Amino acid sequence: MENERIPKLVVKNLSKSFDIVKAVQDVSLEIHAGEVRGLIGENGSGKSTLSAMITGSLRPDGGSMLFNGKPYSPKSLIDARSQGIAILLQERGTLNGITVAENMFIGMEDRFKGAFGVSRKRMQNEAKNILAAIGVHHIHPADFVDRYSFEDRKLVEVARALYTNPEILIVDETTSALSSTGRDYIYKIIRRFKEEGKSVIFIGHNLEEVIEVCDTATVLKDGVYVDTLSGSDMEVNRMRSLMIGREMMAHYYREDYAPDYDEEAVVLEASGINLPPVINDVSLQLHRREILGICGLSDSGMHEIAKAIFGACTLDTGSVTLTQRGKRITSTHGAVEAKVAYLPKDRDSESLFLPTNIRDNISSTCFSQKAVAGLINKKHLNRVAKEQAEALKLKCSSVDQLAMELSGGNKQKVVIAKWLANQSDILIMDCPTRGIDIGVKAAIYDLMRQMKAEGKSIILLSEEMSEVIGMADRILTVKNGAVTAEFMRSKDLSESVLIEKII
Amino acid sequence: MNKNPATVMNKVGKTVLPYAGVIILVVIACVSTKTFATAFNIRNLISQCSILMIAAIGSSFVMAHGNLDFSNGGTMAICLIFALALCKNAPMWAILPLCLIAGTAMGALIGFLVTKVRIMAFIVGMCLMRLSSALLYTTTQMGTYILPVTVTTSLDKPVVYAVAALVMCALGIVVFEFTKIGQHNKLIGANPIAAKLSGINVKRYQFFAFVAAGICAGAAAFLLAIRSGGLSNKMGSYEIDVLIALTIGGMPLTGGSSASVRSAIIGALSLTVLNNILVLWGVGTEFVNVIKGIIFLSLVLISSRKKTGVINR
Repeated sequence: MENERIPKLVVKNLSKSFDIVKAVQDVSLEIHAGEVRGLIGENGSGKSTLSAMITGSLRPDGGSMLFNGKPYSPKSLIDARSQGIAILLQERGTLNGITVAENMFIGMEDRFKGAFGVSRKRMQNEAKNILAAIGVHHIHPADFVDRYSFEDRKLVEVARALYTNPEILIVDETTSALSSTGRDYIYKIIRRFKEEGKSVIFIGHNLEEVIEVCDTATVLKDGVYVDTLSGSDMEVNRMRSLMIGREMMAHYYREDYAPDYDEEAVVLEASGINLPPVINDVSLQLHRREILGICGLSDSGMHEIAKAIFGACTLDTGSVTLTQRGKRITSTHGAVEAKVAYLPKDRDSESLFLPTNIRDNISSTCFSQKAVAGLINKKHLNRVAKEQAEALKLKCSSVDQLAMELSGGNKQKVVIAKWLANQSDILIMDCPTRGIDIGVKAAIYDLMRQMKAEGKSIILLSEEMSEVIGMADRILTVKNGAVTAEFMRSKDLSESVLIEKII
Repeated sequence: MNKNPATVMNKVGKTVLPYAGVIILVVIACVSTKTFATAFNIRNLISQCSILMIAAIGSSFVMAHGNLDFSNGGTMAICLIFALALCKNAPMWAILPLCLIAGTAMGALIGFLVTKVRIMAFIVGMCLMRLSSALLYTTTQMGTYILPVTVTTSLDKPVVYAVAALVMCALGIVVFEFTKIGQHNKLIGANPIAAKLSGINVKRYQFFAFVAAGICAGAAAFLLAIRSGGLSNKMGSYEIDVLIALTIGGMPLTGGSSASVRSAIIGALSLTVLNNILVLWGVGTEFVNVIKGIIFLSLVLISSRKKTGVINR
């Protein structure tokens, strides 16, 4: 019976540093069979680094691990997966340009080897079965993965992770990228794991969700183990104070409940923009000092509307005009020249230069600043990057650090910094707090308030109703690529009223 | 500061190693051959190296944004035909500007084909290579185009090549490091979508990169004319040598942040010395090409090796 008591996974004194930043220091954990363990902490607290070491994509600097009582040191994600530990990642984990089935069996193609090389047919049949096993029927294994939405690609990853029958599944903030249907798939899988006596490590920012899903929750702060809570100790306020080390302020949204902007001063106007089938005749006006909320489901077309306003799509009909300058936006460089900024939802692939240092990421919008006779002023750019990093409390060893080494929230800070460096007047923020912890979230809301006070205008797109209600002066709901309703800021506005208009 | 030793080593490796390579090659050459350090051989090296280096500097702009530049040889040949054959009656001093004009025009044409017509740069380069060798063949069949001896003797001097190379290096570094042309091309190489969504006019800066490559090829063509004394249908395969030189110099084939003009400088020096050593050792030309091919392949293999478990983007 002693065997029963051996923990599934033992993590002993694991440490990992990047340059001078100690991402994980001396962390020890034990995870038992049938346990769903939450892993919480602010951005940069070491959650993702820890899970990366458990799944072999990073090598620990020190410490050891035991898996089912045996020494365990995975060499790669694929190695970890074949030993029985799989992970669902926060950001995109599928590769474009190859099919769904090929994505699912990366590194395992040998299983389908026949006399004439890899059999696509068998691969696709197998993929179909696995997808069906998690209840997904609308994704076709022979299609290119590019065809599918962010959410569907996530489901492909889920199916892939489950294929090898892992004994431990790590869910790294996957749910924050998914809609409620997508989340339900994941919850179902977690319940099944528990019933089968397997274990789950659940990394999340939404504390209510962590309490709902997990049996126990371990708190990390600045790479150090703080505490593990279970049962009635798992309570939002307690978790928050452990995560930040101080009591969190009660409100981080705006506390005024009336729309407050310059109604006569329209700064940007979109009239009748069309890009069928995703955008259908959308018109909107943005005023000075206004936070215009746009909310809808992930596939409602609102993300494309944001791109269209920024000049990144070629429109069928309609136009976007900066009314005060009388200038039309027809290209992204035209938009940026006119001080319009765009923070995309998928920041890793659409806004950041990951293998590039923080300084050049920030400079990307403003190389011409203080240029003399066309020659870049490197001193000035360096100063700007340092100032921005400091002002936004960016957690990095220096501005020479590569963007890819930063945690999710700090990456978003780099994206914000590059637009602040350009002194943008109009900001299009698409899901600016997606996958970001409360600390950075509060900082972003503060920044939005501050920019509003400085006379800037913001278009805030979000799938989180509470965020839009909490921050926007005016809200547009979007469904099937068209605006369905407009709401003014008010105390009585509820999520259910908005939901009615977007579903 | 307790910097992570691995990253420090990595940085040291990336900045110091290539230079060390050049020095080691020179040492090997001095020790193993008697003729390397002779005045004649060094004159030869300087002229060879400067042509390669100048062409490579131009190509580094194209490589930075992630395109494979395969057009040097073709552009150089067409510049020479334009300057020597088509402008036969032009005064001799006009050869340099004619080469530069032809280079600029060719760069613009390639840039147009790649960015507007959307043909892959590699394909354009391949076609240009075929086209130029055919043109070169027919022009040399129709007559001989040689520079007057007075011109070649006054210009075919190490100092001319060296000064030309230094000027182009300086210009290359300034344009690459201190103008938007270089910096934007690097960012485009790192992530073209993010570049577009950061307000970088991707097509325009890619176009500029091709023009820069064209101008450099024009300058290289001029030096080649002085060196060979005229138009010859055996020009050598500069496109491949430039590519190998850049890779030796540490240029990533996918472009991006670590692209730099330094790769062109170090690469051209290394490849020229290496070539020279092999020739002095008595290795046959065919076999030299085999060795160059193997070196290129292994460098590509090393630079694109996968980290365990992480699939390269």
